[in-house]
Amino acid sequence: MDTSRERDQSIERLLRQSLQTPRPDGATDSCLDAETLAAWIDGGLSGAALEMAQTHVADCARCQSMVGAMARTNAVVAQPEPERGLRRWLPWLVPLTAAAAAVVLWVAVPGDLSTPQRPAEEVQTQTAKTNAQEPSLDNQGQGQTGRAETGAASSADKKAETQAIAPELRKEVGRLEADRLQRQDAAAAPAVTLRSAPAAATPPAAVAAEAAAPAAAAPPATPGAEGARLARSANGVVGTITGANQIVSPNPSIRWRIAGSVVEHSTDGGSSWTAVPTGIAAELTAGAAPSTLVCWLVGRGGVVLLTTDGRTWRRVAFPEITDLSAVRATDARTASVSTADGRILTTSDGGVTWERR
Amino acid sequence: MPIDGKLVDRLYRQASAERWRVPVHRFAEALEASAGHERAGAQSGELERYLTALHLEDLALACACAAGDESAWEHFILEQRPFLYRAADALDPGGGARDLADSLYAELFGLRDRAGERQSLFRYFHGRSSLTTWLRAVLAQRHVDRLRTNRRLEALPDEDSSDALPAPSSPVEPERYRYLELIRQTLERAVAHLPPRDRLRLACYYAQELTLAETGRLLGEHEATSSRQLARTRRAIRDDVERQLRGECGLTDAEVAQCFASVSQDAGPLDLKQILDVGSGRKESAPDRSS
Repeated sequence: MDTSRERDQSIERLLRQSLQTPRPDGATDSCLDAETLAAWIDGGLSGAALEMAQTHVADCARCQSMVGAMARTNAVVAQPEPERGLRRWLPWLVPLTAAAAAVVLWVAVPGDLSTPQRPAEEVQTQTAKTNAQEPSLDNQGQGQTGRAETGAASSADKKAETQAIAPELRKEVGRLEADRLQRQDAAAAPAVTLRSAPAAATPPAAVAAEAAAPAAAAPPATPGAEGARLARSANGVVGTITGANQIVSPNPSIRWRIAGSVVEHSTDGGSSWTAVPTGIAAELTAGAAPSTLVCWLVGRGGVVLLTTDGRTWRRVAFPEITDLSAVRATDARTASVSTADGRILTTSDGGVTWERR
Repeated sequence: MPIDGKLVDRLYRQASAERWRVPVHRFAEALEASAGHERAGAQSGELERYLTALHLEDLALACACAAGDESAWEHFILEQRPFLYRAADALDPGGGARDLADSLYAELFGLRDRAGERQSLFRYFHGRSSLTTWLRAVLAQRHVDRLRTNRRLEALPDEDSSDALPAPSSPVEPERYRYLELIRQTLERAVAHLPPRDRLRLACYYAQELTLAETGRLLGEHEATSSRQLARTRRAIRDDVERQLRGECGLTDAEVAQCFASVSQDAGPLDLKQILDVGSGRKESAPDRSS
């Protein structure tokens, strides 16, 4: 069988295969120095300088590696900065509080559980309303001061700030929703009961729609939202997936979190974290922890990791080199993994064999 | 390149450079070095815009640290060390990059005296990025160079065999290896024909395994655009490969199908990094746009 889709996959496979063989070559005079690379990353390059940098890196393995290394440190470095973080979040305090309140209310008031998307919609509506009010306040300020130019700059800054915060807000909303779903699961299945997965689960409509999309290989943009969606669709799954890249075990004190290829472990509910080596460099995208010692992680390029003692990880063989977007697990042997293009593969022997569903 | 005194004073205040007791002339030298490095300042307006956009507070801190100001050093260590260590751990979760991070401090402090003057690594910081990003870039550069050096020191396979496909472990049809070789060559050419920006996007996504968001950020485009462009590039590569297989290699449709089928089983060690480098030879023959 040789379909157009399979040919596309072959091309992608060919491109991915290249990662296996490193190519030795040295630095040249035109290689980017660290200062230029940093300027590029921080948006300090423009025009000819930026074009020159991009053109060079397009063909230079060393500089590509440097760019890759920089990207791998982005997520980790971006984590703390408490002061700046607080300052950036301050304008969002009200909408986030409103969002949290909406979610809490929704959880507290019993309703129809068959329509779980409603709170997220409400939250988004609240947020949208709040967003809609902000520019008008800016305009008022401009009108009063009469400093049109300064006001425009301030408005542009505000817009940039808003754009920068939007993903964080989305992630936060995803986290809130995932927390709600977690509580639902806990209410439906008290303690750590393992429920069997449905025999022939139909992929959720959203996932099916993704599979039909042209850019099928694209990994999900928001792992938290993806996790929440998966959790929503997976009645009877014990592994808990939350947003913000945290994987909470049935005992909330025990949890893991992922950032890029880095995995951290917490035994005090997330107050402190310890990095745990995994030996892989691929970006991890999702995880599921069916017990306090067992955790499954998945990532790009068919990476599947499993720990059965909470701290040491082993790579589980996966039959495809493809981006993985989600995982559900009931124990150390049984797990279902979703690929970025919407397919689901399951194992019931700890990853020795995989079956397509 | 002398900078107007009033502008220097304004930038000095903006940088809060007096906090670290940085002499104004030292700060002015740093500004001039930065402008000279960027070759900015053909017109005074352009120079002012460039200088105003710099990370001035970080530049002042770097000046003070380079001069050995104790309170500046204390502040620098306190602020930057956690970032540096986290970056090192992200580069090598096994802790192997921490020694690189530690060794940076010695160079930043400037132990090597030259003509009685301490030469600090800070002199390479020009304020076009934050100090944190610059430190990460220096660390990333050291890390990558060390990896590449170690790789060179490892026993490399023979030159002749490094690109060769592995010997089949079991007798298989020779046609399959012919197809693999053909598709490998055509893919190489197809990638070389792409514009540099498309090759960069491919390299980021497939060779460096950046996410779409990271790739987009680097290329100054939205991640959805990166996704679309990647899909478009893949389609273009596939079309080019098919065209070459039919036209230049003279394969029939059935044989082209077999080429793709052979890939779906096992492509062998194909090196996109090597393929992407093909473009560099082509590009270097083009007029140099860097001067």
